[in-house]
Amino acid sequence: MNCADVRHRLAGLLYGDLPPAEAALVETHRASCPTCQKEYAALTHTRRSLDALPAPSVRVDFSRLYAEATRRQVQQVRRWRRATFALVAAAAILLLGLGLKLEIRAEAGQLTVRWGTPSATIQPEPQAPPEVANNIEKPQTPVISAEEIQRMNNLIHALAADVDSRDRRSQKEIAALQMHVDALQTRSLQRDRMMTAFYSLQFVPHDQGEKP
Amino acid sequence: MGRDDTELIGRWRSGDSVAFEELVRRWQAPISRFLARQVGRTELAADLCQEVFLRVFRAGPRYRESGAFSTWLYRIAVNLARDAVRRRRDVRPLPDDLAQAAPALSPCEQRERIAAVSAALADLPANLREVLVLRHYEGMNFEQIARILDTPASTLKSRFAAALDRLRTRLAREGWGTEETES
Repeated sequence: MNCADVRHRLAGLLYGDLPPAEAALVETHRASCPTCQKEYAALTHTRRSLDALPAPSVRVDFSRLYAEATRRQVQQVRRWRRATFALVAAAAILLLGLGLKLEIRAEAGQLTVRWGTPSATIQPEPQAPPEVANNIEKPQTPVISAEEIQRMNNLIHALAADVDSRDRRSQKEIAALQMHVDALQTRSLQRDRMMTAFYSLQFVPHDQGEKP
Repeated sequence: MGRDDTELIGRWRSGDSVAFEELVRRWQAPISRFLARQVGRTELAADLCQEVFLRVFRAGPRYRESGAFSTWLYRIAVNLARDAVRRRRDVRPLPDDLAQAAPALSPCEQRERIAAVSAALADLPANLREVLVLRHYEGMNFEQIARILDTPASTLKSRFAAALDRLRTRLAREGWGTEETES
């Protein structure tokens, strides 16, 4: 091993991360190389400097945590409800449009959106030469069957049922959280009462004592 | 995952809030230490620590034991610390807030040294600081760190050596090298 190989492994040696055989090789080189010895000493010193850094430790505030969890849960439920209503409304509009025979047709070079029953007299078919006309497929008016409308209806009902079940689940979670918060408040009140009792026992006013 | 952690998680998932609080008490110290050393500000670290356990609490019913609980916790903490440092890019991430937390009776030189170390740590790129803090302060091995940071252990070993080297150079430049302090 040369100096470059060893320097690359000095941090591993310092923290005991090298396999024993590799560590032995590095140690052998280090023992006979003043430059690597100096490098190792500098790293050891850096490690000691890092140890000097204090570690402030904090405590989690449970009542704040439960209150925030409740707030976010409520917020999430509202967001989900809003999104679902928007989806159901969009589906309803689509269904209504289909019910009114909304017609969207892509033709050569133009997009036609038509509401209501199409009338044959409004748009005359462009006349094409006979040999070209044979190659063009005639656009067909989309026909929405009762089955498809029924399927859309079922989808909307399924979405609504899903919203209801999610609401129920969320309400249960919120109720559980509320119980946590209540339990914490009760615990806090009990502690306050105990502390008051303790202090009143410790610091009885002098004028309440028996007179000699 | 520690055996007790597994048992506590099981109880918590079946609705025992005391088990959750026990888990928090067990892990709040290492997580807050890690966060303080990542973001450098005790106040911000406290808020982030609160957020870590809030996320754990909210994810509770959906938590799947696909690895160690601690790995999951540290992953949340790493992501939150990264976001916090990114959001406050204009602010120096680690001023001498940690230095102020030094023991009141420590000598002046010791306080200066702590300030220098905390500033040097703050100036490290986040990817080097993360591996340094997890290896040096949390005493994790590179395989554990690899699971948290989702990075190969060999890459992390190189990053760790690079982080130490940068710290050594910086501290020596500021007069906290071996010669100045140990002569």
